[in-house]
Amino acid sequence: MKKVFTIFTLFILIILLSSCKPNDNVLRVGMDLKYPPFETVDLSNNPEGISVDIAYALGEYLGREVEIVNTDFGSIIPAIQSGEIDIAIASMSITEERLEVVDFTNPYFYFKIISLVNQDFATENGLTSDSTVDDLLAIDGARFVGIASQVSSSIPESYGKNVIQATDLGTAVESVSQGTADILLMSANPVVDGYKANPTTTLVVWDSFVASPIGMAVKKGNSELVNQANQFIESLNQTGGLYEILANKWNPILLENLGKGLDFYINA
Amino acid sequence: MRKTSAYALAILTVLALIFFVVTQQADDFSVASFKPYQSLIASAIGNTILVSMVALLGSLILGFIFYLFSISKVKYLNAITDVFTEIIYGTPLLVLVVITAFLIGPAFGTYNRNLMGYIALIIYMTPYMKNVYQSGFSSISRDQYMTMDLFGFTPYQRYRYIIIPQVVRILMPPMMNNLSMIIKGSALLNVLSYNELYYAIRVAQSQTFRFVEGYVLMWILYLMITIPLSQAAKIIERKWAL
Repeated sequence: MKKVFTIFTLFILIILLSSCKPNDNVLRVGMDLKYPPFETVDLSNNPEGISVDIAYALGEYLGREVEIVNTDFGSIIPAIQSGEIDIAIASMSITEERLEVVDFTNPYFYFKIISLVNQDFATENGLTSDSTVDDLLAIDGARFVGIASQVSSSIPESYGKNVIQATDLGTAVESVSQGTADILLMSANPVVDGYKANPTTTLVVWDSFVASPIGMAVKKGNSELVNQANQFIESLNQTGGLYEILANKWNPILLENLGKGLDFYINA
Repeated sequence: MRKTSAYALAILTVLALIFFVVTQQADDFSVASFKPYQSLIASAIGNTILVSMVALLGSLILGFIFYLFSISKVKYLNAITDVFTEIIYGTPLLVLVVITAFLIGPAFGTYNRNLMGYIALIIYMTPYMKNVYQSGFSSISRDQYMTMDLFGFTPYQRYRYIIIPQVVRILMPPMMNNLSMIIKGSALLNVLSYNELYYAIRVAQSQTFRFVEGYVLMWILYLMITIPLSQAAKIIERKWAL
């Protein structure tokens, strides 16, 4: 029995010792660094992108140091809830489902959700890049593919479509390119990149389903941080504000990739 | 010589199959677009090997402790080993990784996700290592210990000439299985955004959008890690065993 007690005491000691949480002034910002040009890494694996710049600007505005916590997109909300990250600046759409579990700031971007369509499927159904959303929705038996936990699956589902769930962008784009799925809804950058990688097998339909409002997410009830972030978001629009700085820095890249500048994201 | 040529033929068959699969994909197959990511991928391979070695060592140690627990006279320790083993056997590694990093870690006040990923792998492998010890040590019969006593072997001589040669031969194959299980399992740490091989390729893919090439490259790189290891283990096995 003595041994048992020793082990129990040790166990409890370990728990007590390790439960001292770090209490510091660092603003921990969560995002998934696999979605260029908003959240990505440079060649030496350092965070880089528009959202990264916004995160550091927010840190400066609040007078807090910023730590970027690289988190798989599907794990961002759990990480907010567990307190691992203070705020997510992850190009996350504000949706009703998410509002039930986290709080959002006002939108700071609007992502137009457009479609990547399999080329054979497009030819069969007479789709072109100028086709409308209604054209896409009118096709019976179109097979949608979406990424689990993202708007790419929740939007077609809201129209009563069956959606094949992919785990990441790679497999989703591949299935459209190979024809195991017909339509993938995503924001403009991944759709255009996916098209550029598979120009003969895919097609971009530019008409947007929605202009999805993008907000920063915080733990439910953290109104202090939401208010601060909202004030910060209001300041973005000022002359010489962050939107202007970001546009100057990122427009060359955006224009080259997408043919559209940062305005495409700022206006609904 | 006939054996060698048989192997050469077998390898050629597999290469032909891979070549066929690759040529069925994108018409302009080229891994050149992954060149800028060399250093990222190289450090990821390093991390994959590092995490595998840490998990191997960690589970070797923890597995030995659990082996001692399982043969201990304290009933509580036997019981805890059994309960723990049952739970781990019933848990998919992915589930264990996510739970360790996102639930258990924060409960103990640590948000060091990479560390929790390492720990998840170690915990996952511990019961398997315990089994390896169990089968290894049970192979040395009581008679042999008595004989060693009879001839007055020193502890060094016992281990060097009697125990280790027998145990190694029995331990090496399951140990190698475990190591390759660890290496393959480490790919799951990508859900923690830990920069291991699978993750690094996904990052590169997210920028190049060359998904087919990325997956093929990933596959080949994993084989380049696991195959030399299993070959090395075979050599060690032959050298140390009887």
